[in-house]
Amino acid sequence: MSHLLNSVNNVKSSTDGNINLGLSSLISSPSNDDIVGIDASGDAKKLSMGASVGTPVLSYVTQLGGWGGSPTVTEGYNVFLRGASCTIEENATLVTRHTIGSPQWLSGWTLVAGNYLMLASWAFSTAGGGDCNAQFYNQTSSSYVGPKIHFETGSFSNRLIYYTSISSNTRFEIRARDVNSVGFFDSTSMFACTIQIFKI
Amino acid sequence: MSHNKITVASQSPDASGNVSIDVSNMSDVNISTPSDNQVLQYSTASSEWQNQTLSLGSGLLVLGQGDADAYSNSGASSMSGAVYLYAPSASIVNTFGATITKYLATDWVTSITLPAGNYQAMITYRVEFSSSGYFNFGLTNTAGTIEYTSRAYIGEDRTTIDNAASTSLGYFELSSDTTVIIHNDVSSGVDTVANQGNTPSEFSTLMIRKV
Repeated sequence: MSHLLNSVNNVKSSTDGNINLGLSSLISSPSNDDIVGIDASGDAKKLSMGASVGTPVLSYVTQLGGWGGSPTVTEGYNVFLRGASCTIEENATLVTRHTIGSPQWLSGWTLVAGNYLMLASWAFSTAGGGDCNAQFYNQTSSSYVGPKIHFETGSFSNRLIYYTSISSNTRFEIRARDVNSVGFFDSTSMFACTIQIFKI
Repeated sequence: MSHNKITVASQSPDASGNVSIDVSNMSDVNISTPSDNQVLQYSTASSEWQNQTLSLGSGLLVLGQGDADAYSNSGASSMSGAVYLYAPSASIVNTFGATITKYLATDWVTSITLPAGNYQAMITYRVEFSSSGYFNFGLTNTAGTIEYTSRAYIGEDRTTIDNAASTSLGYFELSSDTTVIIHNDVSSGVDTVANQGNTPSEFSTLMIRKV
C-alpha cells in the first residue's frame, strides 16, 4: 500500500510525494570538515579528517653489495649512494634524481616548488678514527641547510630532519662537513643510509 | 494511485516500482566536477556534503633547523632535567597550533604545549662531552615522569650505551592540552652549559606529526 512509502530513513514525503532524502539522513550530526566513510558493517559513518603525513615524494633505501670504492671523505664531500638494486619509490612529477655512472649512483635530487619534509638516516665508517659532520646542501643556492649530524667513535644522533619551502626547482645533496681524519664511506655504512621526502 | 506520485530524492520509480538513487541525488550533496580519489566532506556553512580533494600536510611541528647560538644563552642552569632547542621564529613549522614557550626574549624553546590529539614524535640531540660519556633524552611531561618517546642515548661510552638508539621515537595520545619538554635523566661526562657552545643548537631537532 502506498502509505508504506511515506518515509525513507525517517525522512517523510512532502506534499508533492517526494521523499527529500539527504546523505545526512544516514549520518548523525556531522561537523564541519567531516568526511563520509563506512564502518565495519558497511554502514555510512562520518570520519574526522585527522592528520596527514604528506605526499610521498622519494624513498630511497640502499642495498648492500656492489660497492667497490673507498673514497676518502673530505670537506664538502658530496656523498653518493649506490644506485643499482636499491628500493626506490618516487613521485617523478615532484622529484628528479641525479645519478652518476652506469650503476646510477645517487648524488642529489631536485624538487619542484613546494613545502617538503626531508628525512635521512646516515652513516660513515669511523673505524679508522677521526670524526665529521654531515648536512643537507642546497646546491642551487650553494648553501648548507638544516641541522647537522655527527660521526665519531660512539653513538650520536644520525638522523637529518629538515623542512624546506622552495619557490622554484631546487637541487639538494648531502655533504660531509668539519671533516677530521675520518675514514671512508664503505659498504657497511652505505647500507645504513636512507632518505625519505614528503611534500607537505 | 498515490504510489505513482511518490519519488525519493526526486527520483521516480521505474516500471517495476524500483527507485534508483545516486549519491548526487541526495538533497544535501553538491558534487561539482568530480575527479578520482575525492571524498565527500561536510560544510557547516552550506549544510552540504561537497566533493573535495583531501588536503594533506596539516599536522607538523618542526623545531631546530641548524641555526647557531650558544647554549649559555638558553637559560639552562645544568645539562640535566629539561634541555632546550634553539628555534628562531622564521625556522619554526607549526601547523597544528602548538604553543611554543621560549626563555625570555631568546629563541631557546623551553617547552611546548600540544593540543589534545594523537602524535608521532622524533628527536635528535647532541651535547658536548668533557670526557668519554653518555647522555640520554626523550619527550616527557614537565616533571620528566611521563615518557612520550623512547629515551635515545648518545656519547662515546658505548659500553654503557650498549646498542640503544641515538634517535628518540614515540607515538602518544593526549586527551587534553599537555605541556611537554625534552628531558635528560642520566648522563656522564657531559660538559658544562658554558662549554656547550653552538652544538645543541646546530645538531638538535624535534619533529612532531599529528596523526
